[in-house]
Amino acid sequence: MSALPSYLYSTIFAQFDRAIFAYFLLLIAVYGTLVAFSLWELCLHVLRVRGEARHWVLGSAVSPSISILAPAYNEEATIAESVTALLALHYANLELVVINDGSPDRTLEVLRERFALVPVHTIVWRRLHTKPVHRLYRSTSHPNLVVVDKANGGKADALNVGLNLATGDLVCVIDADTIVDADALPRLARPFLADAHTIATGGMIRVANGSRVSGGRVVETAAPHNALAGLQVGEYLRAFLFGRLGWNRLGGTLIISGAFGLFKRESMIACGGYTHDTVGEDMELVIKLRRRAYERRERHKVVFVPDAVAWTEVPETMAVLGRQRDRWHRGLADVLWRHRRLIGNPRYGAMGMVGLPYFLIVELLAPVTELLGWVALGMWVLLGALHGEAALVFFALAYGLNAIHVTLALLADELSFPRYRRTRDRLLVIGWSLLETFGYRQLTVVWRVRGLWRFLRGRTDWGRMERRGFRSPVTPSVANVTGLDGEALPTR
Amino acid sequence: MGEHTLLSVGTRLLVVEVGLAVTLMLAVVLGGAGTQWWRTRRARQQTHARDVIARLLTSSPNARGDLETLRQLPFPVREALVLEFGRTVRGKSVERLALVANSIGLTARAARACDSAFWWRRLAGARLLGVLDHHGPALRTLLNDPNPIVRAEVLHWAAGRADHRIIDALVEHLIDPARLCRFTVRDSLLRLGHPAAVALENFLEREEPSALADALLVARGLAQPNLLAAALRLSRHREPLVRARAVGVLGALGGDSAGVALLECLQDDDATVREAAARAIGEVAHWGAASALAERLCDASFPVRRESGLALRRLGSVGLLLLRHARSSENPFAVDMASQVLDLPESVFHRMAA
Repeated sequence: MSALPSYLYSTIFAQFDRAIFAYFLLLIAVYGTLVAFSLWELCLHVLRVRGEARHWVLGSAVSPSISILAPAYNEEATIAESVTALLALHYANLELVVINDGSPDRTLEVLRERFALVPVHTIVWRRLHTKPVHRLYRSTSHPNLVVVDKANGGKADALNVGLNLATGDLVCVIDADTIVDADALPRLARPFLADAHTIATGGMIRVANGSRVSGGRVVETAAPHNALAGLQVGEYLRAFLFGRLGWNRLGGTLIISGAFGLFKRESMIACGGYTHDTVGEDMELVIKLRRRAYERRERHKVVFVPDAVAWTEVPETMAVLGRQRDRWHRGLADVLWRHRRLIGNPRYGAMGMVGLPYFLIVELLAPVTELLGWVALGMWVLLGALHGEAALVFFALAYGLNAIHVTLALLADELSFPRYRRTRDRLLVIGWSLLETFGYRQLTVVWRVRGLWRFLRGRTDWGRMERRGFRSPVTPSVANVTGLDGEALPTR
Repeated sequence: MGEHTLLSVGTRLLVVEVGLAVTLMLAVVLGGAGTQWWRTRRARQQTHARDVIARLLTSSPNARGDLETLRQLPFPVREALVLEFGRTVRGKSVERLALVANSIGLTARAARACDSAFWWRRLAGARLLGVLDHHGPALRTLLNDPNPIVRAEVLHWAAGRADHRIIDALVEHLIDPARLCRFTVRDSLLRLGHPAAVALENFLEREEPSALADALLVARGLAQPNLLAAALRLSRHREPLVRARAVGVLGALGGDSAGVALLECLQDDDATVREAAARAIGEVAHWGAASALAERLCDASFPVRRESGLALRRLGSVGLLLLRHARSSENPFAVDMASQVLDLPESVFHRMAA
């Protein structure tokens, strides 16, 4: 390197500086646009639903029927409570399909005992190809409960079995350990009533850590005291409230969280259901649905609903969080690679020209750019080429923007559908969000780049997920070894 | 631009940014605390006002004083309370609530809101007048509002009016371009019940298949005898969806002529029509169709087989006999479906057949 003339160094540095700065400006423009559209959409939504009578939809004989699909793997500790809570959701025409994905523990036995299940002759309308179904059960105490026991095949396979069995007009996909607000379903179904072209809706996923959970419902909201969980609160708020809501105005979101989404059943089946060999099956499904609609020249809408809330337990240890972020980024890379022909293709409208390029440039490549920035910073320090004052101002600007972004999300949340009742919790969330840039953000960059690297090396496993569980805060329960831990995917 | 200029611009931007961030943080904390305080205060006011309204709805000895108490409350509190009571009380109580709302100036304000240029104000006005079962012209004019959300709100209100002009207007909205309005109209017509049947019968003379399909859904729910002729005619319509929905109406009405038509539809080329016919035969318990249903247990379509099996079980002893017989059939589809239907617990069967 020392053989290179000094003017070449300065040229390389100057070009690199400009590239990083241009990327920074692009991010500001993109996030600014998303924030502006989100706030506009949020205002309209609040005006629409203020004073609305939901019992009207609930009590109507012509409301669409909903089938909830809840895949379960090694959930014996929580399954009874989760299923009871799901059966108690406020929606009249509801069917619950629980899919036991070959759990080696007592998940099925618990269900059989608690819900008085009886086996019925096992035939399934196999519209989607899946792993074999061992046994079909119906409940004598809850006529709208169907339980299916099948060979282990992962979350996507379990959901496809559920799709084969579901009879509802709409299908709600949730994780067995997701806590859904009692009135979330009619809210999530609203866009289907408002527009015949709606094919999917997604709800808001909030962090349940720290909150009090009882009877399968979040009964008292509080900010988490655990640092890692606390840091994720602002991240989730920003990702859902600004990331996804803004896309309602920009041609529709590309991600409906696997933890809580509502889909038109026939559209899902027509596009082949969930793809088995990907770790980003929730995003893949939405892109497949939209791709099919574009190719058939059908109008379609994918809508994010900010007041339909489900709660999830986020990881509280670095190892688990790292595996989760690694997997999310691998999933994103995989989905973008599968649908690479759509990127920048005008045939696919807003999805091809705006949505997918955004996910490629802003979501997939952001950690790489950020990592390059940090590496370059180190090099400049070593070479003595760093302009300390300028670097400090640049860092402070970036930090300030991040703080504004997350605080704006908190404010929008507070003024629309607030959840935190105490000032202490609001202060705590702000505090965690301010700390995000010091260490946590850099860690997520490393995890995401690792995910990208692993994708390039062809790794497709889900990794081990550990949850503390809502019922037993002391004894950790290990769940989802083979991949039924499809928590939300909060890209920014 | 020189390095110093950039630095100076950056520093200025930073100052602005810090100011904005601090303001926003203060807004979150103070705004949150303020909102919380306001909510607590409002909840306190509402608790007291609920007692006052409850007294006024029965027979308050001090009506004037109670009304004065309500008048002193902020408008959003009064509005929220009237909406809350309006959705829970019926009959005479609604009339009394309307009088209370009128006395405290809510009705006039809501009527003014219905004339607003902003859709959200019209929506708020329509919601309030709707729960008060308002008879004035303010809501009628909103039946053709350009905003579908406002229109849907008024269509919902119209479900409580057995007035022929309103019913005719409601039925016309079965071809409303907005799905929300079509959904609301279907719901409202079902709530109206018998008075809507004549207007619906006239509507079924139309030719638009999508409108017919929606209207037939309502006709099935109403199940009025005057709709039989239209249902019989439409069970031979060129569109499978219309035929299937017409078959549903026949299933709700029953009778000899319906039974014959249902048997014909059980042989239809389209699986959705056969499925609807099998279900309808189960609903009317048409014993004469039992053997035809048993044949459908071998149908190529899974939903047709399922509905045929369920219909056979609904027929009672005759159907059960045929289902048991089908378990030893040579056709594996018939064996499977008959076995599953016979295995279903009673409660599950009733839910599936409902």
